[in-house]
Amino acid sequence: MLSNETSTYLRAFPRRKAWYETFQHNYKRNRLTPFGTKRITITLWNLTKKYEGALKQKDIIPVKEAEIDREEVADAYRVLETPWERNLDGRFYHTLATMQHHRDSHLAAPELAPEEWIIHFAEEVKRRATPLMFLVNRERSVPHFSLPDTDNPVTMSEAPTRDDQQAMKQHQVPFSEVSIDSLDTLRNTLHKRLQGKRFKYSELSDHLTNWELDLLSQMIRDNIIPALFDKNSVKFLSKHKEPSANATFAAVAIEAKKYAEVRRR
Amino acid sequence: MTTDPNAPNDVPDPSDVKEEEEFEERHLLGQLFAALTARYRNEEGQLNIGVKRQDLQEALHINKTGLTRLLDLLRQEIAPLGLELVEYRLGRDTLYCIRTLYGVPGELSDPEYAVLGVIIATIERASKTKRPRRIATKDIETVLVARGRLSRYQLDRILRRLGELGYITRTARRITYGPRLELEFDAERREAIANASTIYLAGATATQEGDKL
Repeated sequence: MLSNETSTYLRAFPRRKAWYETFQHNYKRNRLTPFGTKRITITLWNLTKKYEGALKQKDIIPVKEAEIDREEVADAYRVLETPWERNLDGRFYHTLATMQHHRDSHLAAPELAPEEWIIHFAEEVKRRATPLMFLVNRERSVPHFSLPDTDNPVTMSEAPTRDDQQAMKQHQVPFSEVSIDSLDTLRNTLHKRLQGKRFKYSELSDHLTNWELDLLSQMIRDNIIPALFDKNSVKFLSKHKEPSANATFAAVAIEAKKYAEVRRR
Repeated sequence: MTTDPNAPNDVPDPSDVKEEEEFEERHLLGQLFAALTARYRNEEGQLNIGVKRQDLQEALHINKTGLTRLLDLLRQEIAPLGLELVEYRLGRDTLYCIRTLYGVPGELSDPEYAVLGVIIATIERASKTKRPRRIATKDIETVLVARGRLSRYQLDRILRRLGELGYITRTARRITYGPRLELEFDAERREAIANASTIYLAGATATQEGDKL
């Protein structure tokens, strides 16, 4: 029964050894005579499992049923002896009490839909609040007392005025509204017009409208219409010719003079 | 010798001086009111509500007693409007701000108030001896997310907004009262909310006790 190590340990402490042997004897005796407790243990086990499962599922077992269950195992503590059985007994009463708590709280809290719950609960909190008052409903990054005085206001001459912004909005090119097929035809017509010709940068804006210039810059970027850039002029090559090697990167900004709407289909 | 009643009088009339002073004072009170109903974010990203006492003294060129007198005047003026002047401490500074006397809906939406209520109820229920009083974010999630009242994303957004507005201060996993929450809900109100919330949070307690097993 005793392992080798335990026996050497206990040999040094005879009183403890005696206690240990008594414990072993009692333990064995209880385990070997389960006839009185077997049935009640099984009942306890089943009931505990029943309540634990119900709690897990958040089901409610009515008071009447719970009371019958409790009476059935009420006298179990008289016969139960082993620690395991006593633990089981405690476990059953714990689940019973938790179920009671669960039942009561469910009776107290009506089943509200989540949205309703939020509205009702918010109402409870809201009516107890004494909110702080703010004239401006957004915080500043600079405290107001360290702002510059109103006598020398900040000049805004360089910022775009409202008229400028409106003008820019009017002449925006909404390519997103143009269908892909019509965009292809627009590209082809532009390419036919330009291929094999040389333009000065200043002249280019006289020939093309704003959206054509936009489209052209896209086409050059995507190498649909290969172009050679000089100091003052640009030459557009035909579609199949590759530009000669050592193509230099150049960025030219051209401001449109003609404004027109894109043809949509 | 008789004095000419129509002669130009160099010495100003004392009643005029008094009126002028009063007018100036009222003007000053107006400015002070506007200043106290503002908020700004300091260099540390913390929301400052109202104005620091030191800043007020520097701006108005008055000492502490003068400022106290002026604030008392302001307190008397705004009391009939249902407002009150509040003095509170944030770190080392003393700040002044203005709040309403009566229950008024604030700038939060309904779900935000509900989350705030859950936070208040949970913190009030936690032990009162430990300071700072704080709770784990997980506890709120069990009430709100696990029961399908809010999605995790919604809760996260609401918590972030509450943090931005100064109601709560968040660390990685925990939530504490922010300065604004303690201003808007004093201890009595918080306890009242905690008591009222028992019905709403009732289901949660049973499961929590079950979890501990």
